[in-house]
Amino acid sequence: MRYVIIGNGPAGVSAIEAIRKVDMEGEIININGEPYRPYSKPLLPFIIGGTIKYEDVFFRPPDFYDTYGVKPILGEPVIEIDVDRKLVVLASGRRVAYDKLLIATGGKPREPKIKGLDLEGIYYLTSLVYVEKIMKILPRVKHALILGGGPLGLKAALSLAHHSGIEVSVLVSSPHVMSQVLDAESASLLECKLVESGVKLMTRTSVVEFKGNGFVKKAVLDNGDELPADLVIIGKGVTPALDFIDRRKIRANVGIIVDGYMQTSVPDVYAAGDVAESYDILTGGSNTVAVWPRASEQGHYAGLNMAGFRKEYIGAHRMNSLDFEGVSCIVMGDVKTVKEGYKVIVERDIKRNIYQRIILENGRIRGAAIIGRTVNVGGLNRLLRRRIDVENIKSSLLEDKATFIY
Amino acid sequence: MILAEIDKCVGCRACEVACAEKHKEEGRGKDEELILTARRMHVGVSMGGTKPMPIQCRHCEDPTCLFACITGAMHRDPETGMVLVDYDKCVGCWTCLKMCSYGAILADVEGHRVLKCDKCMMERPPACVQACPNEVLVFEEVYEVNHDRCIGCGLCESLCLRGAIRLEETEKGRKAVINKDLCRGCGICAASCPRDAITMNYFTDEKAFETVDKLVEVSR
Repeated sequence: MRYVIIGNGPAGVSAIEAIRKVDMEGEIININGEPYRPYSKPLLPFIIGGTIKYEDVFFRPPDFYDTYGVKPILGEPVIEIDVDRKLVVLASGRRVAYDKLLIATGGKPREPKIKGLDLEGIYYLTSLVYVEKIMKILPRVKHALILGGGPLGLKAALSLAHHSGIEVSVLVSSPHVMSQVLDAESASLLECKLVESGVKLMTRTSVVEFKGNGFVKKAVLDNGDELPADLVIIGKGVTPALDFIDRRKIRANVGIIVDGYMQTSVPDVYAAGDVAESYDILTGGSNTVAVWPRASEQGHYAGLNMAGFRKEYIGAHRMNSLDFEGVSCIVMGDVKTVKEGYKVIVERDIKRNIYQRIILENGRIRGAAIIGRTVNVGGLNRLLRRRIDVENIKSSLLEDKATFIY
Repeated sequence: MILAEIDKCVGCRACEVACAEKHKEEGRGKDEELILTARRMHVGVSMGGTKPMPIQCRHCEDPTCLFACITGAMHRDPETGMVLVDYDKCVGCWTCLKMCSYGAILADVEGHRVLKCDKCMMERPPACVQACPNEVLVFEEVYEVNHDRCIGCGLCESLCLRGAIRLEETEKGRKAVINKDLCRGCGICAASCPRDAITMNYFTDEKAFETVDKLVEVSR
């Protein structure tokens, strides 16, 4: 049995670990377009801020591939999958045959439509390659510009604000930060923290053009103003990286469509992580949420099923968690949509930096934004995920009490 | 395994204090905050305001916290089988804390990283169990091997999913020995032993039904 796994992010890595739980003998080949061993993309802003060392970005020990008996092929992107002949074609022309294939290529950055994007000094924060470039120019950066108010962009802004002598501005086209996951009031707490840390925040603002001479010098805003910028980080989210698949063979919508066993429309071809479109427990439809726990869980289930151990994946929902200079922010499900019949529970304690908002739909948690509290948030997440009726215990949802017993 | 008999718990939180004292080096908190911060155990919890219940890490088979960790700080220790945090690697992103259904992962007071149960490493019994005045928390071998009956055939050793059983030299010869930390009480060994040498200490049918009844009662 030969397992081929494309991608070495959380989905690829936990698939390898899961396969080895079941199959100690099969051959495992791990292909990745980038030349690095498994590293953690959410940690990239931490390197820029100096909170972690470069070598700490790798989330498995250096001997990971040896320990799990994996043959890595790194630095070679996949350009085609021949599902009829069960072959993977690499950019170098090399062909790799498979018995079971996992596509875990993750996401690629969403490119905004702005003139002058090809200037040097404008980077995404989705690869170690970019971070290496940013670290090189960082000592002479005076004006950093972050486009997008998502978790990665905001972490990058806070990280850059740690460096003295860099003026950091965050430009968000929406009315508030984290607009994909947070309501305006929750977001305002984080915005306060941003401003306290010395970050300049501009909402409802977007860039129409970058100007410079080879290197970016300034940004032209939609209102005509110009901002100086010698480093631009674009954090507009990611979309599934699936350019190399043949959509006539492997069914795909936004992402590659998978069933509960992480299998695609083609037998023996599986997909997991940010590239996969899987069941959404909240809507009953499907989603392509790009978050770490979803990726590694899906990788785990894909790995088990590829190795012949049938286990069904329960489905995922949107979630985020990050730390804002000491204020924790944990979001799960959908806290933005409020329809008739939904119940909204809110608790504020601005002095202690606590804000909690829970949305109930027919007595079941539909979304929760918990800022400034960490005790037992996992219990809430379980209640949400299992769609458990919390009508009788809703008074204790906001307290540091457990609701895990179900 | 650390087991809890919730009907005996009065919510005195002695386990928390003992836990905090035991781990104060890692707690990093100021003294007066120690109890709230360094605790690995979390007591005084209510379900509909009826019963307190001590919460501890189950060191799960497929831990969601391990799936959640973006740094690789959360890992399974190959020696003991426990799920542990490498405190130097944790950046405090709270993803594991959000994913743990039991609420067994806590943030330290400075808010830079998570804390979780390490079963006091190899010290036996763990501090929380030692401190519990009501014997709510017990550290027990779920299964016991009767070495007079065991013939050292090694069937259980090969069947154990968690590598918790080893054949070791004892006074009575080469016999099966169960590692308390690794055993999860699945019962495969007891069910397959040709000599009926392995007996259940804790999860007897009677005990299991009793627990189920308690849960139903509590959640009403």
